[in-house]
Amino acid sequence: MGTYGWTGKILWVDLTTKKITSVPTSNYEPEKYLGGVGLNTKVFWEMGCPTVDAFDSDNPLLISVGPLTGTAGPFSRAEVSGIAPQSYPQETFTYSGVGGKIPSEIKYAGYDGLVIVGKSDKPVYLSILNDVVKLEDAKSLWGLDTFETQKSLMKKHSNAAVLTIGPAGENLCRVAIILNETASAAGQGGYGAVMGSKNLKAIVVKGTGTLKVARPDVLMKLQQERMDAKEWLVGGAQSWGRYPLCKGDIAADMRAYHLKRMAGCHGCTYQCMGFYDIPGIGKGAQMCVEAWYGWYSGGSSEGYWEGNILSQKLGINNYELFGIMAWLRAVQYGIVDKKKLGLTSIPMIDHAGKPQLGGQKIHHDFLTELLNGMASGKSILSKGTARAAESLGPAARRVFNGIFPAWGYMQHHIENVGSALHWAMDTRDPYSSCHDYSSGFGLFPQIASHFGLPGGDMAGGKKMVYDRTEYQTAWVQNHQSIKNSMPICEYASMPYSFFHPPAMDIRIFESSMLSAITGVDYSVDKLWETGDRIYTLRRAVAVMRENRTRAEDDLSPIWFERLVGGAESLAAPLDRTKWEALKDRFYAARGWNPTNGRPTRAKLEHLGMKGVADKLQSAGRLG
Amino acid sequence: MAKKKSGVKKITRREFIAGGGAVLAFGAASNLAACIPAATKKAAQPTLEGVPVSALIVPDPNICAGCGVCGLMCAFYHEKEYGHSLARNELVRDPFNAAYTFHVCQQCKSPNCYFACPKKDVALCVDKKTGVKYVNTAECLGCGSCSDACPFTPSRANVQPVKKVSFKCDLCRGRKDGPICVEYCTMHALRKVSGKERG
Repeated sequence: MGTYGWTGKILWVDLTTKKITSVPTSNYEPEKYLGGVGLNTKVFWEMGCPTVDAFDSDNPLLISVGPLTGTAGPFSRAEVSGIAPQSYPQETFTYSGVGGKIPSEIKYAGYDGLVIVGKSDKPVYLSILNDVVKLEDAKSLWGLDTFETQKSLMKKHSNAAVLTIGPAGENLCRVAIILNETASAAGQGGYGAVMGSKNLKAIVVKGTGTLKVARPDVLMKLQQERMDAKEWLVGGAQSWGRYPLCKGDIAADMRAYHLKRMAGCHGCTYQCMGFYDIPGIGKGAQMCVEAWYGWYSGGSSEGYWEGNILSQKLGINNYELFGIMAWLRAVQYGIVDKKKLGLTSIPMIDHAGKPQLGGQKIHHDFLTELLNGMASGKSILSKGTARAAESLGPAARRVFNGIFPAWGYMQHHIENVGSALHWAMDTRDPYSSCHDYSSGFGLFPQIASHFGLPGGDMAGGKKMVYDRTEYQTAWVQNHQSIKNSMPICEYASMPYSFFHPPAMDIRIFESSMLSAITGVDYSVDKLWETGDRIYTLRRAVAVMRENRTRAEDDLSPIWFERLVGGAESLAAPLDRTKWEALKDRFYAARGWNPTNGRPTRAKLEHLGMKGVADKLQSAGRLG
Repeated sequence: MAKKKSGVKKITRREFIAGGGAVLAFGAASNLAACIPAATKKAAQPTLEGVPVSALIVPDPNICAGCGVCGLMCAFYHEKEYGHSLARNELVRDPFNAAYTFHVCQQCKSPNCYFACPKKDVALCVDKKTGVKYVNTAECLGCGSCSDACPFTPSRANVQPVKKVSFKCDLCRGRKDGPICVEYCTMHALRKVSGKERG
């Protein structure tokens, strides 16, 4: 490992013994696993893939940045990993990304990642000021919302960046988030509850260090080219922040009367979020899923905005709330009694037909009841929709299955066969780093063909294409792993980003950036092999910890029976025969055994992972 | 008379005006004077003779999104390293109110830093053509006199912790496309205001 790109240290905090140490990043082959998800997964693998539950003190909370973090560009991202309480039917080892200010601060403080193990006997927060790291008493913070906690800690620690949980995380709500500033959250996975289970309220980071890069002149040229080409520029990327992704009348009202300015992550040139203020409700940012209640408030901007502000303050996953709202049709159908969900009234059902579904107070009462119920741990929805639906009987589960295709996560752009296959193979909703399908190959066949992949299956109406789709999925899985490990923001990393063949495509841009910063020569092929390695290691963890096999690589059976999943979904139900044949080809393309879906020794050794092959073999789980 | 709470710092009118610069400027972005903070300490008496008024960087606090690219690119251009501790500008962020205060050298007409420098015209220099005050790092002693003399809070000239030389905004003198913070501010919240416009 060189001196560039990585700081060389991983902070290791044991909350049980209060021992704080650091280990060399070089223990984990960073050139082969980069950072972010790759580094987290490697650390977890070396820990022996503990089979404990998410709320067990031995579940490590892993937070890694990567070689690109801290430089100028869309790279201020950290990835949180660990055993996820949100995943279903089994808790899985997975990940969730977070942007904002804190990832850069972790890097400037001198760390490639944080490993947090054990459980504190009383509420604490972790404060990191460069190499001064302390566990401090958080008794006075326990119970505070995410905004109050951050304000209090920023005041105490001279404007440091804060990652925090709200009451939802403290009360072990399985869909609790970890938030930085507003609207930057590790949302999926329920990692807020993992922090809560460890009695860890917050992580405060301030770094005054600096980062050297290996080839500054090359890097400056790469950045300047993006500026000169007007690609590294705010504009289109801001559209979701500027026009909330919900009903048009709300979007127009918010834009006209409540948008204060744009906002976004540290060091990024895009600033994709909008910062809004509705007096009496609150201020904060929104980009995409923050608009969840905007589809159900009957055109009430106040209702929409209260949904976003309250969920962020309490620390609840907005994407899951989207899913809950869709699943509430089970109440409409008479399958589930709303009283069992702790709800007195649901505006979209009980006040349908009334202007704005009954007005602001109705929305306020509903949101307060729903979100406080979840955050306090009293509502059965605090376990997440999956576990709530399970406890409410088969009909409630059937409604759930049409909305949540796999792993306990709500449907997210399963719009072609490739993305369906990707979902089936992952350990969570993978789509937040896989827009390559719906925004890339699906619409632009010429771009897909540049990468040698099938595409165009969403242009001029959706089509169900199975032929060669295994290569599309494998490509996007590798790219997903690269994005989450370099790291680079999804927004800046679509296949058409910087597309000037043959001089520049996203692979060339990403490998050039990584080479210039680290000084390690990553050719396009080497970078893609790195993505392949990281994805394969994620698979090895799933095989080792969760005994993952081909049988589990599937979507809910309902996805093969009829059209489900809403507007952003497939053109036709999946065809079981074609699907299984596609899976055969997919495992072969990945170098995994088609019988059991496990990586083979040949593939692992090809990727320089002999040790992984040996461990899988001794566990009797080699493909 | 009620006793003042201990630990509460008394805020002078000058400090109040400087601290509230962003607030005062809100809604009056086109008003240049409102975007330029007032000095918090005593200004120097002597003035520079025969030197044009320098340009300076002026933020529009209504537009700034608080990303900090200005500081990152500043540090990278000048030091070939990233990190806000090496930036010649400073962004004080209040993300819960989306209020971002940008601090940078005001290129004073009566530059305290210049007059305080024990090696003036060798270490802290004035560009005779443009009026820009800049640090010649090869000659700088790192004594911090310029930093102490700066009439603004926070001080717009500082001593680098590692290299032990002073650094401050020099408007990227010599850079063909002008100040890098202005070019890379994709929000267009920063503007280089010429000496003529400044008056």
